[in-house]
Amino acid sequence: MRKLYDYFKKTGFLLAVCCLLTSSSIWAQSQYTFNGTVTENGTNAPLSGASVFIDGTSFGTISDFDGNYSFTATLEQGSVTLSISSLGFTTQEILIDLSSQTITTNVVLVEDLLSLDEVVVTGNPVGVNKRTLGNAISSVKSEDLVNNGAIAVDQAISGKITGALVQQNSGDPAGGISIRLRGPSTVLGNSDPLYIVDGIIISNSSNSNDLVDLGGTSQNRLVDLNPNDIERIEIIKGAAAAAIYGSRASNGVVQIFTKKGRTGAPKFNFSTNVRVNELRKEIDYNTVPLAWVDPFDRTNLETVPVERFNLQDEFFESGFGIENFLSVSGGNEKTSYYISGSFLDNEGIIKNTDFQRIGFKTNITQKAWDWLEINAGLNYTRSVSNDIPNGGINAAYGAITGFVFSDNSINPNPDESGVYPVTSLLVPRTNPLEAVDRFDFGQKVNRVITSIGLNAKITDKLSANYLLGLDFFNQSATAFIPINNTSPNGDGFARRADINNFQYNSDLNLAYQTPITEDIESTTTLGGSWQYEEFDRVAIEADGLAPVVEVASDGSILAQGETRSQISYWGSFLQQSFSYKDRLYLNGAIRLDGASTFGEDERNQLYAKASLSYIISEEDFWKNTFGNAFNTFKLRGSWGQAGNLTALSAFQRFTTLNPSSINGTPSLIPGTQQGDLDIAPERQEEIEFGFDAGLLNNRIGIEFTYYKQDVTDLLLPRELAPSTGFGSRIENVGDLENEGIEILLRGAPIKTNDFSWDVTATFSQNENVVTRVAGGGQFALAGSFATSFVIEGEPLGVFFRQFYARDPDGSISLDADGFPFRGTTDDGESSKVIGDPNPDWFGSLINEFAYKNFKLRIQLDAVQGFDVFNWNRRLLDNVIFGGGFNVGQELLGNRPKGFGGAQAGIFEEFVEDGSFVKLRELAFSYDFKPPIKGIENVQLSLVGRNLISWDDYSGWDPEINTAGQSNGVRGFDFAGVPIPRTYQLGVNVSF
Amino acid sequence: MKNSIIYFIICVSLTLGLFSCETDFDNPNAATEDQVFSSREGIFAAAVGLQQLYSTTGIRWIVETPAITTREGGITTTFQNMIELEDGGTALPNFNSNVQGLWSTMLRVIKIAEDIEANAATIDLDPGTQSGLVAHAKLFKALAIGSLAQNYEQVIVETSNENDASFVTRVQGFENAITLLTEAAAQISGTAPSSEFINGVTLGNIDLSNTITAYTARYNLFAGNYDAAIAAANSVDLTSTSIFAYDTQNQNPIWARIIQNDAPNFKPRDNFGLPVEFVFDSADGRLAFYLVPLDETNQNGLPIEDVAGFFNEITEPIPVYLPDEMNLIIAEANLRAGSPDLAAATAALNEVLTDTDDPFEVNANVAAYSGDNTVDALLNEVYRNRRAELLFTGMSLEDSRRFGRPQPSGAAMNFAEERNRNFYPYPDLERNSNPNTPDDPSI
Repeated sequence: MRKLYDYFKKTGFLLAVCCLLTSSSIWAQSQYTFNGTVTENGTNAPLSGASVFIDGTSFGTISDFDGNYSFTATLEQGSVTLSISSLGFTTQEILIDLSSQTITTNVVLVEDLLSLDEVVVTGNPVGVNKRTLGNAISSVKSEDLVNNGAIAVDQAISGKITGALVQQNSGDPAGGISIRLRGPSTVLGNSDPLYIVDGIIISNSSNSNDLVDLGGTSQNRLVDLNPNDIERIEIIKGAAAAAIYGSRASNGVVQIFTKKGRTGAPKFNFSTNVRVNELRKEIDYNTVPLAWVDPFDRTNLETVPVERFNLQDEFFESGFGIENFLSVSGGNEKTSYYISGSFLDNEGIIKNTDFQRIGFKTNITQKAWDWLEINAGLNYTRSVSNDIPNGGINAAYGAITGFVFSDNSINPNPDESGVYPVTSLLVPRTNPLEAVDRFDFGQKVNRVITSIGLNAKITDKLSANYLLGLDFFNQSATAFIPINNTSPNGDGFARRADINNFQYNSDLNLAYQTPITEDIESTTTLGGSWQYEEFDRVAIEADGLAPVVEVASDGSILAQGETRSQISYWGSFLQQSFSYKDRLYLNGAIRLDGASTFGEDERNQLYAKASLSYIISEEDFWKNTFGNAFNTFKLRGSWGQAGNLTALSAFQRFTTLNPSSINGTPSLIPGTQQGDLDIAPERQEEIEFGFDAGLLNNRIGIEFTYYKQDVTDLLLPRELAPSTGFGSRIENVGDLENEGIEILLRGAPIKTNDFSWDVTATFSQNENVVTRVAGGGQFALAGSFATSFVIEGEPLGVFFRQFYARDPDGSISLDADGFPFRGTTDDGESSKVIGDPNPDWFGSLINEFAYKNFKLRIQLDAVQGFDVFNWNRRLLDNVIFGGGFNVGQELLGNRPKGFGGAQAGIFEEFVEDGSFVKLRELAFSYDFKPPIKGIENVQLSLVGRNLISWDDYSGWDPEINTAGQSNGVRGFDFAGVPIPRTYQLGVNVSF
Repeated sequence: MKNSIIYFIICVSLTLGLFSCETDFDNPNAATEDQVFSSREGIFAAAVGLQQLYSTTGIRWIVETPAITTREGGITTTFQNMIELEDGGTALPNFNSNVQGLWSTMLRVIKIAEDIEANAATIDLDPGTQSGLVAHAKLFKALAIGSLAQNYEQVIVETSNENDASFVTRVQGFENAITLLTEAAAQISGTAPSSEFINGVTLGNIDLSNTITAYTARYNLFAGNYDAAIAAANSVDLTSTSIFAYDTQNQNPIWARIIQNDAPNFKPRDNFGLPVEFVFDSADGRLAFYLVPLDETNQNGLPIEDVAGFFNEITEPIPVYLPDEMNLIIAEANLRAGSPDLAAATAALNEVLTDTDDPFEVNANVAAYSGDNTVDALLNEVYRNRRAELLFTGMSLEDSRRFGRPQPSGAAMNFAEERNRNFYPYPDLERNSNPNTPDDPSI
C-alpha cells in the first residue's frame, strides 16, 4: 500500500508539472448551434439515445425521447463532419459547411442488424469498426440489461450472446452465476472470462464458500455491479481475439462500459420496481398416510398409519423485492458527468434470505485541452445478504439438505418450549424448519472500483491513453447455529471469515494511425500493462457456544486460519493493422507477458495473433451479381494464442512444508504435493472463421462462426511414484479441446409506422474433450463425492460411477427378488461414464413487438442435451429416509419395498436429462409523455422472468449446480435452491 | 504543443515505471523447501517433523499392517482396506491403502531424512547440534528402510525425484540400514549431540545412542549377521528407555485405531494370535500387560481381546524398542549362529521369562525355560516370547517368516492360516510411474 501511496503522491505531482508546462494554443473560433431530429428508417419513429457528435471533437449530445438533439460547439470556420450513431443502426456521417450559426440536420438512420459499423474496443486499444475485425465479437446494449427481472449483469445477458453459456448455479437472491465462453478451457482453474469495467480489471471471485460454507453455493462478485449503470458490454470469446490480453485471456474477455455524461442540461432518470419471487414448482413427495414398521427389512411389509407433512411449505415462501435507481448526467463542452445511486432489496424463496445492494457510481470526463481528456470513475457498492445454508457437498447443516434426509411423517414444528423435533432419524441432519427459523448466516461486502484515465490526441496520427484502475473489496461472512439444535453441529457453530481483496492495473497504450498509400491505411499500437492483485483472508470457527452469543471467539475454537496471496503480472504488446479500401483488413499482434506465479524460466511468455477480414460485398463484382439479395457479406478468420493462470495460485510452484507441532515443539512436515519450479501457464491456441451476411436490404442478418481451441500445458495433478517422497505434483501435463459453431440470426420481418417485429435467434454448439491426462488417464474432481471425473478422451466433468446390469435387450436386469443390481463392463470394471453435464447445444429466440407505444419482448432460452445428477432423489426415494414420492409408491405396493434403496447404489439411475427450454423473459412496456412540464418520458413495465420451463427433470429445476461456480463439477443437484419465477412491475421516469 | 506531448509521455512512463518492480513475493503461508533447509529453525522443525511423521502416521502403518496379516490382531470394521488385509492371499490388491500407506509413508520419512542429512552441513550450526541432527536423520532413515524390508521383498533405500528410484533386495535394505546406523553411531561418538539438539528435537525422550545400537542389533539379526547382532545387543544399556511421546493433537496411533471414538478398526487376538500349540502360563505377566480378556470373536470368527499395554490411552507413549528385545536377539542369534551356543541362548531367554524389573513393566515373571535343550525347541520358545513380549511392534511378519511358520496357501479368507502373505505386493502408485518396480511376490 505504501507503494501506491507514493504513486499517488508522485502522480499528482507529475500531473501538476504536466499541467504547468503545457500551453494551449489559440485559434480563431466562433460558436455554432446544431439541432435536428433523428428517426428510424421504415417506421419513422423518433430514435432516442442516438449520439450526434462532431468528428474529432467532444462536441455532441444524444437525442432525447422525441429524437431531437441540440448542442452548441465552438469551432474554427470551415467544414465539419457530423457523425450520428446508435447501436443497431448504420452510422451516418454528414459533411457540414459551417455557413450559419444554427445548423439543422434531420437524420434517418437505417437499421444495421449485423452492427458492422459499431465501434468496439475489446481486443483493440483504440476503437475500431466492427467491420475490420477478423473475429466474432458480441455486444449487448443497455436496454437489454434492464427491465428483465435480473439483478446482476451476468444474469441479464443470459441467452443474449452466442457462444456464452450463462448458468445460474443457485436460486438464492444473489445466487452465483457461471459464464463459459466456448466451453471450459481449464481443469483445475476456473473458466470465467476476464472481466474489465471501463478498463479496470475487476475481480469476479466466488470466494464466499471459502469464507462460510453455505452448502457449496456462493455469490460471484459481479453481483456488485448495477446493470442500470451499464452502457454496453462487448464480449470476445477466445484466444483468437483476446491475444492482446495475454496471459489471462484464454477464457475470453467481457468488457463492460458504464454510462458517461453527455454535453447538455442535466438529464435525470428515475426508476423503481417491485417484484415477487416464487417457487416455480414443488416436487412430488410422499403423501401416503402409512409408514413401515421396519423400513430396513424388505420382507416385513407391516405398516402403521401416520400423517404426512409437506415440508416444502415450511422452508419455501414467496419473496418480495424493491429496486430504486436515480441517475443524473450532463455536462458542458469541457466537462461531462454521470452520477447514480441505487438501492436493491431482493428476498429469496427460502425463508429469511435476502440480498441488499446499495451502489453509487460517478463518471467524470474533463477535457483539459483540445488534445487531452481526463476521466475518472468511482463506484462504491455495499452488498449485504442474509443467507440460509442449503446444499451439502461439505457442510451438512443446510435446510434443503435436512429436507432430503427427513422423514415427513414427523411434524417439523417446534414443541411448546420451542424445541424442534429431529426429522432426519438416521443421520444427523437439520430439521429444515429449524434451519430457516434459527440459523443466522450472512455476508457483507464493501467494494470500491475506481479509475483515472488520460486520453491524449498527441498529433492527428498519434494518440495515447493511460489508465490506472483499482478494485478493492472487503468481504466478511458469518455463520451462526445456536446450541441445542437438530443439525450435525448440536452444540452450536459459529464462524467468521474475512477477505480483503485488492487489485489494480496500470495500462499505457500508444496508437499511430497513418495512410501509407491512397488505399492502404496502417494502425500501429504499442501497449504496456502492470497488474497486481493480493488478498488476505482470516477465519475463526468454533463450537460449544454459550447461549445467545453469536461470535466465534466465544466458543471452543475448532479452527482458525490465515492465508495471504500476492501476484503481479506485466506485459507489453505491439499490434499492427492494415486496411485496404474499407474492404480488406489485416491485423497481427504479439504480446510478451509475465507473471510472478510462473517458474523462473517460464516467467515471460509470448502470445501472438493474426486476423483477416474481407468485406466482399464492397467489391463491384459482388454488387453486380448477388448485390441485391446479399447486400452485405463479410468473411473473417483469425488465429491467436492466450494463457490461463487461474489454475495456479500465487505460490503453487513451491514445495512447502506445513507447520505443525508435537509435544509443544514446532515442526514442519512436507506436504504430499510437490511443487514445480518450472510451472508455466496453460496455453490456448484458437482458430476461428466465419462470415457476416446481410440479406434483403439488411432485413435479415446472419453471423456464423466456427472455432477450434486447443488448450495445451493444462495443469493437472500428476501422480508420482511414492519413491519420490511425494504423492503428486501439479504439472503442465494435460491437453483439452473445444470445437464448435455459433450462429446468430437477426431479422426484422415487419417494420411499419405503427408496428414492428424484430427477431433474434442464437445457436451455439460446443464439443469439449480432455485429450490428454498424463499420469493415470483419469481422476475424480474434488467436491463431487468422487462422481465427476476428468477422463482422457471424455468431456470435462463426466459422471463416472456404477450402472445398471442390463438384459441383452437393454432393459434393466432384476434379481430373483425383483431388485435391480449393478453391472460390470466387459473389462470387469464396476464404473463407467454415465452422464455428461456439458450441453450439446444452447440457444435463444427473442421476439420483440412494438405497436405504437407498446412493446412486448419474449425471450426463450434453450439448453439441450446435458445431464444433471439428481442427488436429492437418491435420498428422497430411499425408504430408510422416507420423504420421497417413490417411498410412497413402495408403501402403496406399486413397486417393491426397498426398490429405491437398491437404486441408491446404482448412480446411473439418478443421472437425468436436464434439457430445458425456458420462458426466460417476458416484458411488456408502455411509454408515454405525461402532460407534466419537465417530464420527458414515462415507461411502465411488467416483466416476468423464468415463468415457464419445459423440461423432463424430476427435481425442481435442471438449471442448478450445487458445486457453485466450480469449473469441472457441473450439473450437480444436491439440495440446491431452485431458480425462482419472478414478476416485476416497474416505472421509469426521465426528466 | 510539442513540449506538452513530451511531458505527457514522460509522466506516463514514469507512473508505469513506479510499478514495475516487484515480481517476486515471499510465501508467508508455508515454508518452502529452500527456506526450511537453509535455516537453523527450519531444519530443527523438519527434524521434529520427521520424528512426528514416523511416530504417528508411520507407526500406524508399521504396526497395523503386519499385525492383521499375521493374526496379531483381528479386524472389527467394515473398512475395505482392513477386510482385504484379513482376507489376504493373492487377492490382496496392490491399491490396498495399508500396503500403499506403509510404502509411501516410509518413503516420505526417507525423503525428509535425506534432506536433513544433505543440508545440516551447509547451515552454520553448533557441531553437537549438527551431529545430533545428522545422527537423528540417519536413524530414522534406517528405521524406515528397515520397516520396508520387514514387509516387502525388495525395497528402495534412496528416493529419486525422477520416478526412477532403484530397488534392492530386502537383505541389502537391512545392510543399508545397518550402515546408516553405524554412521550415526560414529557421528555421535565423535561429537556428542548438543543440549540444544536434545532440548529442541528429542526432548530427552529418545536416547539416541542406545536406540541406534538396539536397531543395529535388530537389523543385524534380520540380515543374518549373528555375531554383530549379539555384540550390538550386548552393548545396549537395558535400563535406558526411549519413547515416542504423544499429545492430544498427535495421538497414540494404535490407540486411535483401536480405542478412539469407540469405533475399533481391529483388536488384539487371544493368545497373542498364536496357534494353540503355543501355550502361555496364565500367570505370564505379559498377558495382563497387553490384553484385557474379552469373550468375543470378530466378523471372521477370530477370537479377540481388548487392548491394554502401550495402547489404551490417548497420549500413552510407545517405546521405540523394548529392552527385552535385546535378550531375545541374543538368544536367537546364538541359536542361529554357525555353531549354536545353547547355554547362552537359554540364559538370555531366561532373562526375559523371569523378568520382574522391566523398565516398561513388560514382566513375564514366570519360570525359567525347562523345555528341550535343542535348537529347534529353543527357537520355538524365542518365537513364542517374541510374539508376547513384542506385541504390536511391527515385526510379526518378519518373525513369522524367519521362524519358518507355515507358508500361506495363497487363497483368500483362509482365516486358520498363521499368516496370509509372505510379503506385500508393490503399490500401484509405485508401479504406475516407476519402471524399476519388480514383479510382485507370488504370495
